[in-house]
Parts: sequence; structure tokens; C-alpha cells
Amino acid sequence: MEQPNHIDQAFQNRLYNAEQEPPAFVWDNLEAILRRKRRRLLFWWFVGSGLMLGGILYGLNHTSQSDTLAQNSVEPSIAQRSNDVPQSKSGVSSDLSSTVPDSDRSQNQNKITNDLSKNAQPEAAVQSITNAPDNTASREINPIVLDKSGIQEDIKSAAVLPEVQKTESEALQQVASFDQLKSKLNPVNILEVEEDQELPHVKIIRPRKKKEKNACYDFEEHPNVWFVDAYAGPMLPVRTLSTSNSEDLNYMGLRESTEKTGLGFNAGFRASMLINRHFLLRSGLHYEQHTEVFEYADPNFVEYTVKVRSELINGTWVTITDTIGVEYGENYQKTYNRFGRLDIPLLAGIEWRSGQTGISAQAGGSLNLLFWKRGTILNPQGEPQVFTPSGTLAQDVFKPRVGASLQGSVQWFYHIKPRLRVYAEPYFRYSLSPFSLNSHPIKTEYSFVGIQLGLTKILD
Amino acid sequence: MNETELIRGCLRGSAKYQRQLYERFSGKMYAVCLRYARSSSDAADILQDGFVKVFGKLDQFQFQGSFEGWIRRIMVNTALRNYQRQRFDMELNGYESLPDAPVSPDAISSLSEAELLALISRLPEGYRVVFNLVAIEGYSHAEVANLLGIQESTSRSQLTKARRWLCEQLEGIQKLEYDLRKTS
Repeated sequence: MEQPNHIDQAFQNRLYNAEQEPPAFVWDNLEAILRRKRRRLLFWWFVGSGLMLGGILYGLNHTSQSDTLAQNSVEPSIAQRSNDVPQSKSGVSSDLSSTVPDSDRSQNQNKITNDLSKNAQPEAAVQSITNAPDNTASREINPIVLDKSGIQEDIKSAAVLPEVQKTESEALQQVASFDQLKSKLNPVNILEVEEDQELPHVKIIRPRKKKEKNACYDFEEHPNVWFVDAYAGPMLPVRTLSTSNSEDLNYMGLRESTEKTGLGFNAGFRASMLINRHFLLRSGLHYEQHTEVFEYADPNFVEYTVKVRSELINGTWVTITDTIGVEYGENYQKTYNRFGRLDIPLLAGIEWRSGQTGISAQAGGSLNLLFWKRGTILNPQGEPQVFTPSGTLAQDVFKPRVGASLQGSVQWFYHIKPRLRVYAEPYFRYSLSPFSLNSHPIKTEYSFVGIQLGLTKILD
Repeated sequence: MNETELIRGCLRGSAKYQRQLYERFSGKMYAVCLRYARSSSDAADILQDGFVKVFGKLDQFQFQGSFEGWIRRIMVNTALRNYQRQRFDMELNGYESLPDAPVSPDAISSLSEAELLALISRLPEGYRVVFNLVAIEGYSHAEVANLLGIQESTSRSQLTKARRWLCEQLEGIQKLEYDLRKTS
């Protein structure tokens, strides 16, 4: 390293830890940049949370589907096994295609019945019969299945037995009646037989759960369930300016002519409890943001350009300010003022359903947690001035939080899956207190009309 | 509030902690920026850019060594990047040869920090950066050469010229003060 000489040392001693007050605008600019970054972060947080919630909902739904699929997969395995039974061994596959002597009929009747109960799959039976030769020799039917009581009666009543000894074509026609049989067999446990054993080991196959074929949840069975909603949609603010002082009417007119409300959006999460099939209690987090455009042209604008420099004159540093330009003209200013609110809604409602669709109506209150605002409007002197709370020389216009509001909405929903709904919910929200400070000459009140487009997951 | 709490608060994105961190270090860092910048508005730009980087890279601070030193390095690097952007401009201006001047460092003590900073800000661009890096921040010529993409010999010669220029200015100030005292 270069050895510092005494000049370097002297400067380092004086300047290394020197401090100078930075201009105030540096922090204002910096804060604006940081705020933008925070907002971007918040946006991605919302997107991420939405995706995560969507993933969870999909996962939950997918899991319930997988359960159903797993149960369905049991039956083909039985069918496969019945097809795989070798000809030399006794079983329904070969027995159905055999001609059974009359004398054996009665004694084998019960055995056949049991076999049928095991192979109560029409597809499997059809396959077996089709593959069997027409003139197969008569074979003895061995008992291979032990069944629970009640099955024989069911099968007998279905009048299948007498048909077993008929020709293949007749038997094929008769197989169709297995559909009826199947529904009777479903409620009980079916026994499956190991192939090589006369008195087989048995394996209990769980009864298949009733599959919810219709995309509608059984609210009769579950009258009290939880719903989780995630939603987003457009929103339109309705703003009202008013003043009690006639002297401020001119200022109010200027405000109205320079500010225009624009479209906004809403998004949120909500949990609802369905009570006794029809009654709802809802709460969650609701975010709304809207934009207002401030446009102003100052016809008497004058801009001075000055140059400030320091000069060493007679051993003294002198600051010299030179005016190097003056411009007269109209100054046009356009600012997008933004307002965001985070609220906790507390709603009570009622729901009616018809098949896969239905409507609900809910109403209640909403409590404001956070109200942020940024932008510029005219001040009472008619000059543009920022109202962002942290801004330099900001005017105090709006409250830090906007209190309670009343809210009502009607939801139309449709079950795309038994536990998953899509919905559209137009809503109206009325703020009970003005957004502006009481000290401000113009009272600013808001109502909001919007629509929530969302997904509901039913949890039970 | 200690430094660790301050950093953790900023990492949580708290505006309050960010403000406090800025208030704690902005004075010193602005003085650093003033030394490198051509004007106070340039210095303000460097300070702003530097703090944006500080807040953006705060999660990379390992809590080892001085936090102030870490911020200072970011500010110096930001100032250098700013200098490199304006290098073309500087080259157009060129450096005039400076006359030798007697070294009179005592004059330094008679000047305030603001005056010293103003004096440094009047150094020609290339001299100023090298003088700041070597004389005040303590970088070696090899490091300066690497940072600025110049030869070590260039760094040495610019430092020498910067010293001469400063000494000349200080000599003038000293002489004026002596004359003023004499007349009074």
C-alpha cells in the first residue's frame, strides 16, 4: 500500500469520518423507491399465496379423486384373476361354459351361486364365456368361494342360476343381468380366492365408497361444513365530495374538475361456516385498491433556472447564485393517485341450492385495518400539493384508517366438482365515515361497487 | 437500538427501521459521496443509488466486520460507477499540467470539513477519484488500477498531481490568511 504522506494523512484525519447533512429530497426519493419495492413484494406475495392456495385446493381435490380411483382399481384385479384361472382348475370362468349334467345341477347349485358371487363382474364373465369352446366336456364344479350370508338369496332372486347351464349365446344374454346383481353385491364384503387352494385363504376387499357421480356435495349428509374462498375482481369507487362551508365551494369545484375516479380491483381470502345447510358466517381479509387521476394545468407558471457555485474570493468561500434562465408558460401535471385498503369483513348470510348451482346472500360489516394513499391534489389555496403522508410538505387530507363500512353481496355459485365451486359475487360497500380528516374543508366519502370472482373449496 | 436490531428491522421491510438506518449513516455517507462527486446534486444521486443498493443487498451482509464499512464500500463503488459513466466527459475536458507548489499542510487545519470537501470537489475528476481512494479510503494503487481499469502508474501520477493541486490551493489560502492578518 502507498505510504500516506502528510497531506494525505491530514486530509484523511479530517475527512474520513466527516459528516454532511444530505438534502431532504434524497430520503423522499429513496422512500418512494422502497415503497414501490414493498408494493411489488406485496403483489408477488398475493400472487404466491393465491397460487399456493390454488395448489392446496387442487391437491385436496386430487387426493379425494385418487381415493376413488384406488377403490375402482380393485375390481379389474378380480376380473383379471378370474380370467387367469387355468382350465384345469375349477372356477367360474370355465364353469360357465360347461354343460352340467342335470343330475349334478341341484347339488352344484349352491356352489355355482358362490362362484358367481365372487366373479360378480359382468365384463369378466363375458370374457370367460367368449373364450370357452362350445363343446367343452362336462366338469365338476368345485366350491371355491365362501361368501357371507345373504348373497345366495340375492343371486337366487336375480334368477341367474337356471341360466348357467344354457348355451353360450343364451348365457351371454343373461350376463347383462349382472348389472342388477352388482348393485346388490356392492354393500357387502366380497371374498377373493387364492387360485391354488381348494379352501382358499381369503382376502377382504373393502366395500367401495359410494362415488359422488354428480358434481354436487351432499349437504344433507354434511349440514355443517367450512368453506374457504379465494377471489379477485374489478371494483369501481363512487366518490362524493361535499362541504358545509359555502366559501369552500370554489375549492370543491376545482377538486372535482381536476380529479377523476378510475377503476380499481379487489382480492382476498375468506373462510365461511355453513350452519344447518343454509346459514353462513363469513370472515377473512379483503383488499381493495383504486386509482384517481389528478390532472392540472397551471396557466401562470414561471420557472427560474439558477446556478449555484462556490468561489474562493480573498481567502473566503463565497456561494454565488446566478439566475441563468426564466421560462413563462403553462405547467401541466398529471398524477395517478392511489388508495388501498385492507379490511376484515364479518358477514352473515343464507344459501339456497338447486342441483349443482345456487345462490347466497350475505350482509354485514367490515373493519378497516390499513389505509394507504399516495398522490397529489390541489390544496385549499388551489396549488398542487402531495398528500402522501410521508411526503415532503405533504398536506393532511385523509385519515390514517377509515373505520367501519357496511357491505352486502349476492353470490351465484356452481359446483364444478363435489367439493369445488366457482362463483361470482357482486357486492356493494358503503363507508360509514368520510375518508378525509375532519379538519379538511372538503368531506370525501366513498362507496364501492365490485364483483368477486372466486373459487370455493368445501372442507369437511 | 443496536445495529443488529436495525438491520433485522430493515430486512423485515419496516419503513421505520429503514428511515432510522438512513438517518444514522446518511451524514457520513453523503460526505463520502461529496468527495467523489463533481457537484452536490451528483453526490445526492450517488447517495440515493447507494442506499437503494444497501437496502436491496442487506440480506447479503454477514454480520461480520463493520456495518458502516460495508455501507461505505457500497457508496464508494456506486460513486466509482458514476465516475466511470462520466469518464468520457472527463476525458473531453482534459487535464492541464499543474505547476509545482510548496507543500503547506498546516493550512488544512484552518479549514472546516465543508471547506475541505468543497476543495476536493474542485479537483479535476480523475485526480479526485484517485486521491479519495488512495489518500482517504486507504486503497492501494493496485486496487485502484483494478477498480478503475487504469495502469498503476497512472494512479500514482494522478495522486501526485492531486497532491500538488491541493497544496497549491492550500498555499494560496495560507498566503491570503497571512495577508489578511497582516493588514488587520
